Amino acid sequence: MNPFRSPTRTSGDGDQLIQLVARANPVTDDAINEAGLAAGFDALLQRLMERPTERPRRSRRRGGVVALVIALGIVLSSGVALGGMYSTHTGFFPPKKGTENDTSEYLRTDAPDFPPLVRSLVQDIPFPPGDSALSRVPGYIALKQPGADGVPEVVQAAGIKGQFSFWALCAWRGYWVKAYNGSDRTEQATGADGLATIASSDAMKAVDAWWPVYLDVAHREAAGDPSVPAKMKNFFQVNCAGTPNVQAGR
Amino acid sequence: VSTRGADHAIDRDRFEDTYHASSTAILGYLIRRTSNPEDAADLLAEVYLVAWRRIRDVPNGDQARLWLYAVARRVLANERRRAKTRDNLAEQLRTELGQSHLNMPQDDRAKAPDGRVEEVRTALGRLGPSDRELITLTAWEGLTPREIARVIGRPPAVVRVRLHRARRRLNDQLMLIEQHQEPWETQRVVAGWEARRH
Repeated sequence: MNPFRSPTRTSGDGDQLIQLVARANPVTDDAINEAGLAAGFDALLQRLMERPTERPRRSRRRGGVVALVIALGIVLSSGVALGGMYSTHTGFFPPKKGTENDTSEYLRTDAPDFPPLVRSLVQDIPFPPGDSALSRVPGYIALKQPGADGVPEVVQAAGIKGQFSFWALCAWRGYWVKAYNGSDRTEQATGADGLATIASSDAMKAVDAWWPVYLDVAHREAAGDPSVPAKMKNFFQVNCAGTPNVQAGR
Repeated sequence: VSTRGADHAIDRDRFEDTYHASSTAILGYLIRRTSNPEDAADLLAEVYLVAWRRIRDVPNGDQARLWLYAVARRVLANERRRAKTRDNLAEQLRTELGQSHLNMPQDDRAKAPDGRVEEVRTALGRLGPSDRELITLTAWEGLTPREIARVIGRPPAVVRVRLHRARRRLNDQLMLIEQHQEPWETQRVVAGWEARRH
């Protein structure tokens, strides 16, 4: 029985659901074992062990990171202690840029002034006709609320704009593919322009090193070419699930 | 010299044992979460390079696999935000993967012609990154909530609660798909740019 077709549910449905997901496993470990990769695995092992090992170093940075986490914790918990009188502006700025953060202020997602801030940050991110960044704001806000443990989440402005830009990327790709499948050249041009704009936007460049690859796709679209670079073979299917028409083909 | 040599031999033996016991599972984890199987070979090399360099920090037995999942999770999260220079450690494995039939997800259509696989994948895509991670670690990697807790660095009780919510939301999405309702949003598979309090 398909669990999600059942009008009533029991505790056993959760296991059925997991089994359903298990059957949707794109690549099982058994398939990997049968894929004839033994020589490649062995070669990698040999090359790895040619490298030196090293003892983990306890650097002074570790202390800095601990202090940073503690400071952020104090900032976040203080809002709760003040009876909910808190702002999205934590006043906390990470001292160093990391792989997934810059040095801009951490923004608390459960604060009352977070939604208007999000709207102001994303309102100019272009989406295809019939879609908009603002229409997606409520969903984004809901996504970012604290979990059952109540621990507040924080994000940064670049992360917010990056997320919406990525949604726009998916939407523009879907828009172009729909036009391509319908042989509508005017709409194709609109779609290609939209993708190029979003791919080369400051918001995208700030968070995603793949923006030139996305721009390459836009250039192909502008030339009427539905293909994508090899490294993006399944990219839209995997990353834009739920967006109609992201796979070209007519 | 003899002591250092003996230590090195022990390190090599431990690493080889760990590698042989876990590399298929870790490669599977990476392939399932990248858009290109060949890229997973490079990521695998990165994971085990960390393990080799820190071999004395790698726990024993099955705990090693969880430790490696945690490393793989971080490598994957960082991957797409870095302009990296690959050093081709996994060149041969990359080639073999490119020649293999592990090109997901097209192969699934043959496995489930009724389209249910696509429905499930679409529903997964609509979940938030955290929900999706918990569901797939359970269903694809076969991890228990306690094991997931070790991988993602959260208390087991928190994982159980979040997994329960994630299952509920997945079920809701599947029902929506069945009713042919269009999604209002898409979710990015690779989460990022979110600072969390750990």
